[in-house]
Amino acid sequence: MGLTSPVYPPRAQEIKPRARERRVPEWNRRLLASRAVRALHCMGTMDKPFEILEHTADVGIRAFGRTLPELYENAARGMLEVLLDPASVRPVEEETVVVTGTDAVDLLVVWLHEILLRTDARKRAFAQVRVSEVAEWRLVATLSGEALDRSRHELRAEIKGVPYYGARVARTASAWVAEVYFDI
Amino acid sequence: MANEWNGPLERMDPWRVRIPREYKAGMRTDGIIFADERLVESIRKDQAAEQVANVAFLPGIQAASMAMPDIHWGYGFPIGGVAATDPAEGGVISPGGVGYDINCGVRALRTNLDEKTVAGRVQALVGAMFRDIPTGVGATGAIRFTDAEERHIVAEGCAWIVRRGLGRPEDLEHTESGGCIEGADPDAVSPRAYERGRGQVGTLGSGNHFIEVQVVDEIYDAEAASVFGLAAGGVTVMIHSGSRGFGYEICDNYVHSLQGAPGKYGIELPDRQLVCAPVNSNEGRRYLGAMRCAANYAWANRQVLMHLTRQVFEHFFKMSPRDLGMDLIYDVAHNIAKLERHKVGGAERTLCVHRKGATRAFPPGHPEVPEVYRAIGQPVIIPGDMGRYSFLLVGQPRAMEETFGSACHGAGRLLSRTAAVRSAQGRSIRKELEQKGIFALSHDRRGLDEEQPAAYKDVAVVVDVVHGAGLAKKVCRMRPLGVIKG
Repeated sequence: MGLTSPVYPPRAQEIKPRARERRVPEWNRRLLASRAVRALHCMGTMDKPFEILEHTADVGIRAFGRTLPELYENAARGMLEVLLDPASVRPVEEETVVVTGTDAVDLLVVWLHEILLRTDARKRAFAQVRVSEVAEWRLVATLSGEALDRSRHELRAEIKGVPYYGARVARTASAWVAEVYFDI
Repeated sequence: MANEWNGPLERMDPWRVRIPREYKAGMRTDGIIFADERLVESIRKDQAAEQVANVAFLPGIQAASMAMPDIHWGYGFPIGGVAATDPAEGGVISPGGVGYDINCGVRALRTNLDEKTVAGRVQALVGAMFRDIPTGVGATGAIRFTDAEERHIVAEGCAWIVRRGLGRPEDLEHTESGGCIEGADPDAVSPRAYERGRGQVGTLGSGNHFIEVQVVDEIYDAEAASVFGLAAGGVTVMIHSGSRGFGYEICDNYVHSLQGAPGKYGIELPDRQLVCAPVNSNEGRRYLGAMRCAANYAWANRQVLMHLTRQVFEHFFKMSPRDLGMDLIYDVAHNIAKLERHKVGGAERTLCVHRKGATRAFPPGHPEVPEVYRAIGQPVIIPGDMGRYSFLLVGQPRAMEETFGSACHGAGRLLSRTAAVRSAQGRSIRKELEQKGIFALSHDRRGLDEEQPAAYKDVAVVVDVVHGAGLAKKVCRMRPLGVIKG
């Protein structure tokens, strides 16, 4: 299966997911103790599903997965954490998503945008996501959540869009990695 | 991706640095960034300068790929980016050159109130604004419009809102483009965009959107301030918002649907987000038609927000509209693409001017400047961060000569959102502002942390460059008293 080379900017170095055994620096421990920042990081038991990327005006995520479905699932989980606190949402209703793209990056952007559209346009809040299939280049997933309730759901940020800029999907020695930014 | 940028910035004069076109194969023109030495260090902290170079790839680009001194990292175009293309030379239009928040912009209002009148009451006033004006993620408008009415809004903009009784005829004269760009094509907008924008006219949004109550604390040009109806100590209001989900979805739809256009038209781009099509192509015309709908939606949105603000103030101070005198000074767009007449190489041509995080700044005498301002120049509204100050300026002739009639739009961010949240750990930004006499309300504490003053450049430095370069002239400075955010 062909991978999409990022159009811009290309990078030569390999993207390595962080090892579980990495020592967490003291400043990072204090940060993660804060509720606000903890919500944006998943300390993870096994592999870290995603981590935050810095951007001057917005925010990005780097997601990891052993398989492509897991990768796209973790990218979506990262975006959900930017939008709201999934723990404040009840996963009582399911909806199916089927999207297609022209390549891996396009599929990533289209997939995340679909979640964004359902959140914003249809006033939905999602707690869980399960990607069951990714094949060149079609994705099938199930989103679990409920109608948006501002009195109950901890809403965090309004994402305007999912740009192609900086979006990439790559394979390292041990995992799939995706990076994407959100215009906030 | 590595954040620091180490490319060439050649100083041209105290106000500008150049990225030579030889920097990157494919650049059709130089890049020019308006910045003095104080700002150059911050420019190198992210990839915005690389984006200036990338924009120079666009077919039909005229003069240079430019950026204003509030430049920072964006998507495709940098924030602060200005680029004009000539449709007659195959010039293109790029949705990334407008951004997701089409016609995000700001309007400035004057009042008959002064600082003494509002002293001791700002906190309660801000509370009333926060209660009565819809803000934050997921909010819907206090005034509901039907789907059919929203189709009118996107075609007619502010004019429809004023006819509905939510404003005054003079509001239209004091809005860029009269609050409506002709040639909007509601059929070029997807059903999903209508769905995403439904119920959001008259909502502030979140992030860096705000409504701020201010006081004029310094006057630089007494004559122009007087034309604006401003005096030292006078209370003003600024409203910053855009096209909400409607515009975001249009940008997203067209960035996606135009992915095939560069290949079709033989355009090589270094960045997928710079996707574009010739202005004079079906794809270009459809995007322009849809973008104009979003621009009109945003002006309508700010008009309704102003109407709600007027109501809050009238009720709070128990004043009639006439006694309150909350009049619109001007409204400017700062994410937009417009067909404008400009002189290039001595000849006047119609160009497609992209302003992404940049404000139009037309000079005295320009026919598009409202008659009441024609002698002094178009008002240019530059909001700063919520802890320091904002500025009003007027456009100057050098802007037409150097930047296609453009100036900066704000302070420009310095810190990432996560860095701003980190720096706010253990602090209460709201209390720090209160200690300075500024009352801020936001739905989400993290929103205030992300938007704290230290996250932004000092807008006075940005405005000094624009003033020093002759693009626009300072009229007055306002400092914040209170603000509501999403």
